[in-house]
Amino acid sequence: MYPFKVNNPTTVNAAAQALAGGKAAIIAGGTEQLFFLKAMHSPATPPETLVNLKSIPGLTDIKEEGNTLKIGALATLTAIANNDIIKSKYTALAQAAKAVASPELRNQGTIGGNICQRVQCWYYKADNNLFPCRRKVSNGPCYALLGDNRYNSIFGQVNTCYAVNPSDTAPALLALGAKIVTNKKTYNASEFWSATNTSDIEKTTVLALDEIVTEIQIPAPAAGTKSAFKKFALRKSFDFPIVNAAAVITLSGGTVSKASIALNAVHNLPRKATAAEDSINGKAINADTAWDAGVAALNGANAMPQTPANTTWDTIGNKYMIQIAKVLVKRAILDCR
Amino acid sequence: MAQTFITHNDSYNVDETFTDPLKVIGHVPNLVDHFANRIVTGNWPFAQDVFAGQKLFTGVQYCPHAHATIKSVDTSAAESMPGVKAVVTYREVPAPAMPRPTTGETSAEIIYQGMCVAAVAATDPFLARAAADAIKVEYDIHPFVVDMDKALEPGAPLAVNGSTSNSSTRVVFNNPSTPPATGPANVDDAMKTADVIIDNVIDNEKWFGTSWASYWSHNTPEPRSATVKWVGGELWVWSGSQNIANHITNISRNMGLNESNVHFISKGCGGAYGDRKPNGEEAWIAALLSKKARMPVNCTFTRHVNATGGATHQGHQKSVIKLGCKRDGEVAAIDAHWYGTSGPIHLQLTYKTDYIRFTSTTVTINVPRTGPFRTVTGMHSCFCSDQIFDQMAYELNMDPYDFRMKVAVTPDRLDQATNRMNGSNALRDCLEEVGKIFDWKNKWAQHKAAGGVGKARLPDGRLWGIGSCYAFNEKGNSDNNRTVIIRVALDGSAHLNIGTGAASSGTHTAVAVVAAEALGTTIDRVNVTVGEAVLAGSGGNQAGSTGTMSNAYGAFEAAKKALGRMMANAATTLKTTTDQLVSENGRIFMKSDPTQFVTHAQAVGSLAIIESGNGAILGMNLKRDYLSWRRGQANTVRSSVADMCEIAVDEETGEIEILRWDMVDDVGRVLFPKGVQAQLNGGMVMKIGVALTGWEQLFDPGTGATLNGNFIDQKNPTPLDVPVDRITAVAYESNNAASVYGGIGCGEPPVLNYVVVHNAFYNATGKRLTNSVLYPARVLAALGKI
Amino acid sequence: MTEEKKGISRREFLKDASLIVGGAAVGSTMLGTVAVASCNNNNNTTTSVGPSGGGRHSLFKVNGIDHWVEIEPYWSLNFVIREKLGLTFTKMGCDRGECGHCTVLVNDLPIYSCMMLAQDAIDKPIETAEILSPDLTNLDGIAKSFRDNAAFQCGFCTAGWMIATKALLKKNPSPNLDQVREELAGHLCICSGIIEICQTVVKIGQGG
Repeated sequence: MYPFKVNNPTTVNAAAQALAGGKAAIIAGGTEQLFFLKAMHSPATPPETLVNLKSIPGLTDIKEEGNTLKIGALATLTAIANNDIIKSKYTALAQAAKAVASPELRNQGTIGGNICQRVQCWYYKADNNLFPCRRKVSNGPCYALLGDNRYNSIFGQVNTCYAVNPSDTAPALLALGAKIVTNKKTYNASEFWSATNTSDIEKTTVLALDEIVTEIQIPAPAAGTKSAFKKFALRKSFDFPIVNAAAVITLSGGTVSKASIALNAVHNLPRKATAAEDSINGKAINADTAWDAGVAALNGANAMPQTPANTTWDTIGNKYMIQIAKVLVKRAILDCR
Repeated sequence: MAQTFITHNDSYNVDETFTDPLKVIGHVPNLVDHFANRIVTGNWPFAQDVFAGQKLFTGVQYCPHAHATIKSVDTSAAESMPGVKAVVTYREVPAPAMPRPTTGETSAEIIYQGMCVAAVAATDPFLARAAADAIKVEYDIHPFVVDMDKALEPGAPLAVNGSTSNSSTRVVFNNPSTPPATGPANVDDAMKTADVIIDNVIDNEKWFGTSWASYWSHNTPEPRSATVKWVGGELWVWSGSQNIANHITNISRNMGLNESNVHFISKGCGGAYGDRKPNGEEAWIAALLSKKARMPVNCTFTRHVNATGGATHQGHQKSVIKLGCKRDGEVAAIDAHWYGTSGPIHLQLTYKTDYIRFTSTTVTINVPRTGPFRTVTGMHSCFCSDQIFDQMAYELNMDPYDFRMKVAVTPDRLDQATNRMNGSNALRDCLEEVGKIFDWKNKWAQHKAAGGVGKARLPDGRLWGIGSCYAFNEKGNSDNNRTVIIRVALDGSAHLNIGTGAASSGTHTAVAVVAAEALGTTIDRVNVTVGEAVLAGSGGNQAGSTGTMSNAYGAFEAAKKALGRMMANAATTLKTTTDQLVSENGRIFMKSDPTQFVTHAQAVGSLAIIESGNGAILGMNLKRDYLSWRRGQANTVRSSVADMCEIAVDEETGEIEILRWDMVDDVGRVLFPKGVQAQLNGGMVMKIGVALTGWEQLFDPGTGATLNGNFIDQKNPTPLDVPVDRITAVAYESNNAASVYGGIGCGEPPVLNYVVVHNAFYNATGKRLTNSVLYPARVLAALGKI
Repeated sequence: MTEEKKGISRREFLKDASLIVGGAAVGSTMLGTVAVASCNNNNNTTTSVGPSGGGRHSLFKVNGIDHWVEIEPYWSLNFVIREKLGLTFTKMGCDRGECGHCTVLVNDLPIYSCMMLAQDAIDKPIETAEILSPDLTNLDGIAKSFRDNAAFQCGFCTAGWMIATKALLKKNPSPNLDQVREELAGHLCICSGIIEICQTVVKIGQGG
C-alpha cells in the first residue's frame, strides 16, 4: 500500500475542498477503500491523502421526520440492520444491510460506502493489477470475456465492461424509491449509479470528485406495503452477492396496487425490474404470478459467451445467474404477501 | 502371495504385552495443559510474532504470467522508496527454493503464475509491498496450459520449455502380475466374466466412470511466513513447518553453512497437513534480505502468493475407470487410468479384488504445486474412485450399503500396495457403525417407498437423497524416519524433544501421553518440545498422519530405555530384580509389596537420564488381540473411515442443504478424547468446503493466472455454512496392532469421503456430478433447469 | 467519559493543530465518535496527520492500559497492536477483511483491525484477546473454556474467535447455537475448529 496522509475535516465543506484537487479520496468505514489501496489493483496514481468523513459530526443519525426516513451516510450497516423502524417499515433495507459481508465488517461499514462501492469483478480487483483490464487501462481487454465469467454481467456490457455492482443495499434503496443527498444535490436512486460516460469507465456513481453523500432519504411506504430482500451467494457469510433482489409491494384488496422491484449484482449497475413490476401489478401474489414476474425481470438477460478458448474443466459460466435471479424475484415477492 | 512378518529387534522385549489397564492413555481428556494454555493465551508464537517491533517486513513481486522467461529486473525505483532497506532478486535465491527446471543455476523460466521474482525489505509491510510493486520486470511470455485435458491434446503448448511432452504414461501395476493357478489370467480376461460393466464413456444422459477432482489450494490460515536473524554468522529461522530437518539441510547447503549453524524453530504452524513450505521461499527471501539489511526480517506472503505454492503435489486429478462386477456384487476387475500427479491408492486398498490395473499419466501444466493440505491426494483419490462403485450398486439393484459390505477389503486380504497382510476389519466395522448411527436401512426403505432415485421429496417439495462412502487409506501409518529424545531429570520429570513441527497440537499431546504411559508416570510430569530440530535428531516430515504413529514409537522406545535404567537403579536400591518391579504414577515399586518403592527422582540418581528412540516398530502386540491376531504379525496400518449423509436439493436454485452427516473413523485407540474429536470434526468442515462452498483454486483460462488467491473467492466454510447440530463424527477403536498402544493417525482420514455428498446427490436426483464442487450452476445444469 | 478532556490535553501536547480526538458516541454507531472542533477558532478547521517521517504520538488505550505510540497515518490498527505494542496474540491473516483472524474490540464492538486505520482507533477503548487471560497459569472464563473444550487446533485464528466471543456474551449471555453461528459468522477456522468453537461458546453461556 502506497503511504498516504489522512485529513480529518470537521465539516462537509472542508472535506469537499480537500477532495477537489483530485489527489485525495474518501475514507468512510474504510472496508472498501483500504482493501483497494492494499491490493494496489490499479496502475493509476494512488491518492496522496485520504479524507476521513468520520470526523464530521452529524452524519450517523437514523430518524423519521414526518413521512421520510433519513439515514446519515455514515450510519453503519449494523445500526441499520438493528434499527427497529427500518426492520418494521423498510424491511428490505434492514435485511439487505444485515446480509452484507460479516458482522465485523458491518460494524465498520457505512451505508454511504456500501452504495458507492466500485463496480468490480475478480479480474478488476486482483492484487497488483494482475489483470490490466479496460476499467483500469485504456483499451485494455475484458478478461471476463476471454476467461471465467461465472460472476459477471448477465445483462451485457456497459461501456464495454462486464463487471457488476456488488452492493447489497443498492437494490433495496432503489426499490424503496430512495433519494441520495449529497453536498451538491439530491438524486433519485435511479439516477445515482452512473454508467453512461464513456470516458469515465471506472466510475460507479454520478458523484463528482468533490461530491460527498451525506444522507439517504426514503419516503414512508404507503399503508399495506411490505418489502423483502433476497441474496444468493455460495456462502452464508462474507460473500458478495452473486445475485440479489428487493421487492416493495403494496397490496390493496388482495391484489398488488404498487410494485417496486430491483435486482443487483447481475449488471454494471442496479436494475429496476419494471417488466416484473408490470407483470405483478394488479394481480394477487401466488407462486405462479411471482414466478411470471421473475421471468419478466430477466427479459433480455443473456449468459456471457463460453468458448473452448475461455473454458477449462472448472468453468461453469454465468447462465445459472439468470435462473437464480428469477427465483430471487419470485421469493422476494412471495415474502411480501 | 507369501505373508511377510516384520519384527523389530531392540533392547527391550518385543513380545511384551500390556497386561495392566492403561493409566494415562484415554484418560487425558484434553491436550496437555501447558501446551493448550499457550495457545489460548497467545503464547504460542508464529513466525509473524517474533521480534515484534524490531524487524523489517517483506514485499514480494511475483510473476503475473503462467509461463514466461524473465528478461530483466529493474529494482532501482524500489531501492529509493521510503523505508526500503534491502532488495533481492531471483538471481540470488538458490534454485531449490524456486521450483523451476534448472541446469545447476537459477533458471529464469517461470512455470506458473505467482513465482517470486524479487523482494524488498522495508520498515513496515505497507511500504515493503508498495516498493515491491514498483519493481519493473520484463518477460518473454510463452504459451501456457492450465487445463489437464488441453495439455494432452495434440499441438498443446508445452508447459515447460525444452520438454518434449506435457505427459508421460506408464502402467504402474497390473495385477495379477503373473497368471494365477486358477481363475482368469489377467484384468482383461477377468473383465469378460463380469455381468455388469460400467465403462469410461462420456454420455450426456448417463454418467460413466470419469471424474475430475478440483484443484484444492494449500491456502493455509497462517500465510506462509518466516522470520530470520543472523547472529554471528549463524542463521536463526522461525517459521511454521513440518519438515524442519529438510529445510535445515537445504538452507545450510546453499548458504554455505554447517547444518549445526542453522537453527530452525517451528512453534506456531498455522494449518497444513503436508509440508507447508516445500520450497521454503519465505525463509530464503528473508535470510537474504536479512543478510543485506543486517536486521531481522520477516517475509510473510500475501494471500495471493500464499495460494500459489506450498504443497508437494499438483492437485488436479482425473480418473477414467472401467469397473466390472458379478451379479452378486463381487468385483470382477478394475481398469483405472489416472491423470494427474497422484494415484488411486484408494482403489487398490478399499475394494476387494485381485484383478486391478492402474495406468498413470503424469501431466505437467502451468500451475503451482498446491494441493489440499490434508490427505494431499487421498480425498481426491477417493472422489475419483468411489462414485463408480456407488453407481454399480444401483446398476446391480443392490442397496449401496450391502454392496459396500460385499466388496470391502477384508482382514484376510493382502494389502495390494505393500504385500502385507491387511489384518483389519475396521473398514467394514466403520461402515456398520455409521450405518447404525445414520439409521441407513430405515432411511433406504423410506426413500424407496417415497419413489426411489430422483423421485423422493421432502414435504417442502425439495428432492431428498441419502448417500454413503468409505475409505481404507494409507493415511495414519508410520514413518520410520523419526527420532525422539527423552531426558528424565533429577526430579523424575520427563522432557521429550521431537524434531518435527506440528501443524496442530495433536502430535504433542500424543507423544506426552504415550511417554507418560510407557514411563509409568502422570501426565503432569511430562513435557514435550516440538519444532526445535536443533535439539533433537532428524525429525522427518510430519505429514500423512504419521505424526502420532511415528513419534509415539520413538517416544515409547526412548521412555522404555530410560525406564530400563531407572528400573535397574531401583532394583539395586530395593535389593531385588527388575522383573519384580513395576512403574506406576511416578513410583517404581515391588509388585509383591507396593510399600517397597522408590520415586522416579530417586531412581534417576545423580545424573539426568537421556535416551533416544527411533521410528516405527511393527509387530508389537497389544493386550487385546483383534480377530485372530498373532504375535509378531504385522498390520498394514491403514485407517478406515465411513461416511453417510442426507441432503435436500432445491431444484429452483440448485442449492444443496445438508440435513445430516455422520462419520465413523477408526483411530486405532483414542489417545486423548477431545483432541481426537477435534480432528474428526475438523474433517467434516473441510469436506463441506470441498464439496459445497467452493474451496478450490481456479485459474484464468485466458492467462493461466490464479483467479482466487484470497478468502472471498476461494470459499472456506463459515459458521453459517456448517450445520453444527446435524453433524456426528465418532471415533472407532480397532486397537491397531502395529502401533504403540494401538493409536493411529486421525488427522487426515476424516476428510477423505466428501464424495458422499455426490452419492447422495445421485440418490436424490438420478444424476451424477463429476466435478468436486457441487456448485448450484452444475446442479441446475444436471437437472436440466438451465 | 473523558474523551473531551483528553482531546484538550492532547492538543496542548502537540505542537500544532493536529489530530483531534474524542467526543461522545452518537446513537448506536460505534464509529459515531465525533471530532470536537475545539482546537482552533475556525470551526471549519481540518487537520492532517503527517506523512511518513513525521509520525505523531497518539494515544492507544488497549486492555485498560494507555500507550503513546508514534504512528504513520497509513498504518492499520493491526500493525500498531502487534508490532508497536507487542500484543501478538491477534494475528494478521489476510489483510483484506476476509478471515477474522485480526479481530479486536473497539468500543466493545468487534472489528477487523487490519481494515481500520490506527488513527481511527485513537483514544478509544480497545480490547485484544490478551485481556481474556490476565493470569497465564490459572485460566478462567473464555480462555479456560476454549482450552478445556479443545476449541482450537493450530491456534492461528483463536484470538479472533475468543475476543469476538467476549463481545457476543456481553450482548447475549446465553446464546443458542444459531445465535452463536450468526454472531461469529465473520470468522474462518480452516483446520477446522468451527464445530468445537460453536459448541464451546454455547457451553460458556450455559455456565459450563
